Amino acid sequence: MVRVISAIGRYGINLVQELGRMGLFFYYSFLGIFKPPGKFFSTIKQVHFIGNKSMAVVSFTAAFSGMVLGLQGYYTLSKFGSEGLLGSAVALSLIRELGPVLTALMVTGRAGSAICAEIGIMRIEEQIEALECMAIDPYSYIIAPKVLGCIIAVPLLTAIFDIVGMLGGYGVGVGLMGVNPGAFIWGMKNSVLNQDVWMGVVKSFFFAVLIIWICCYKGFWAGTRRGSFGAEGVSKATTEAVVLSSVMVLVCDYIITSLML
Amino acid sequence: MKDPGNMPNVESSPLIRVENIVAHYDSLEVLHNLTFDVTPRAITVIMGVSGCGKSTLLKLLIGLKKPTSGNIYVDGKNLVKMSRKELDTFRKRIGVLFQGGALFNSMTVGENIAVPLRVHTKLSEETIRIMCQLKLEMVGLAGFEDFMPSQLSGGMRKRAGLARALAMDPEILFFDEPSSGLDPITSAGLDNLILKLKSAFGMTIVVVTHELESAFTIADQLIVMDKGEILAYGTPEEVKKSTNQRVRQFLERQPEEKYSKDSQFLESLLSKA
Repeated sequence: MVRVISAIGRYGINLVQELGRMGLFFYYSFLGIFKPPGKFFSTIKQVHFIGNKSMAVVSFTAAFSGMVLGLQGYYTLSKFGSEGLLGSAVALSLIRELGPVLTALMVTGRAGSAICAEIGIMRIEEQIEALECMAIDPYSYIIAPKVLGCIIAVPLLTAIFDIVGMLGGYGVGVGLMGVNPGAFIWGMKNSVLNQDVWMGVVKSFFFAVLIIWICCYKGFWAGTRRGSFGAEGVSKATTEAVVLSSVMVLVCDYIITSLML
Repeated sequence: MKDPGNMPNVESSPLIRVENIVAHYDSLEVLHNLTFDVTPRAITVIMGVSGCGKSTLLKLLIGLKKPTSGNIYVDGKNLVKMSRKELDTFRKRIGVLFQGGALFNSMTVGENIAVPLRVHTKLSEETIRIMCQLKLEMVGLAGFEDFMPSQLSGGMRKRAGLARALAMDPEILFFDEPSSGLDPITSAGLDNLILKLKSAFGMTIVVVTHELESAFTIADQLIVMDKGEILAYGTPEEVKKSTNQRVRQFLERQPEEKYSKDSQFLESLLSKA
């Protein structure tokens, strides 16, 4: 009994410590944005890495998500004779939910894991210590450009996801199922309001912060914990970063939706 | 024979004074009450067997780890109690060569050396390029500025790391195991380079190593450590004369003798199986 209580207590203390460390990491990374050196070119590089290089996978996912929405939507709506509403169903689903969430999950898998592994390798090869010894703040030099790059790239990727997804839905709905193109476009135009777009933007911004925070944090302290040193530590950190980011994106999605509805 | 002019001036005040340092990893005490001085413009070598705490001591000296108790004075200022800003000012005066070179893999050798220059100075790109070439020339890597670290051998990576450590013309240089993993010729070349840096630029150098030959070649002042304690401290000649059993064992490269006979060794293995 005592052993169980002490195990629960230990877990609780570790959890609070981890949250505290994550909070401090976020604080230092935020401060790092305003510290020298300048971050224009390094941020552009990160936008290219996180955004441009994720375009293909995001577009591919978006096209098929839109297509399957078109198919499923048509199947459901045709039961009520409301095929004309397919455009609004596809557009609203993508803009409010699927666009931000699926983009965030794709970015986590493609860029988040790479960022975590890159920072983790820097840690185990003493490159972060080397920066500190050169009086260079690693939060400002390594983390801050990645944070800025992700915050810029993810909302833009989400916008691309929404447009490609809607084209996919249009292709299946109008091209394959024979829905009237005018009704499809009219439905989209009439049902999508500014607040729907705003919800998508807010979500993608929060997801970007969440992904980069978790992935950078896990990489920054990779290989330093007891029982997970060296390359094993980096692999463990990368797995944890991807799993935690994905779960937190879904949790955060529910919270934001419930607050903004 | 060592040039007597290179010996430390015992009268000069120490550049770094380590006082009663105690350090822990979690609950394990790894350094027990260490006290010593680092003489300016001399080479201080800290040596000992693996796991004796010498790398931890190096981390304390460059401010990467805080001791549990004790003080480290640099020019009279306590490193342990320095603010972030003061620590950065101190770090601009030092250069550190890490065991594996710690070069940034995604940058060329030239870009690696340019990092501190770009962050801390307002020099033009042309001046930075010339300085990178000069630093590479100093370490015998002229013409390698466009190479990636992965294209270099272990010894070359260390030299490139040293060029980066020299970028800001530091007063104090710290080396973590400079000879480890290097062939004897490259290792001797690095020893010569360390001696030249001291004699030509008057640098204060602290080297952590377990290589006996290298240590006695370059040291003006030797510290022999074991299990977190200093066993011997003085000039190489003084250390050579030490009567401490453990120091003699280290200097004479005698293995840890647990079993005097093969049969005892085999029996111990069987008892553990």
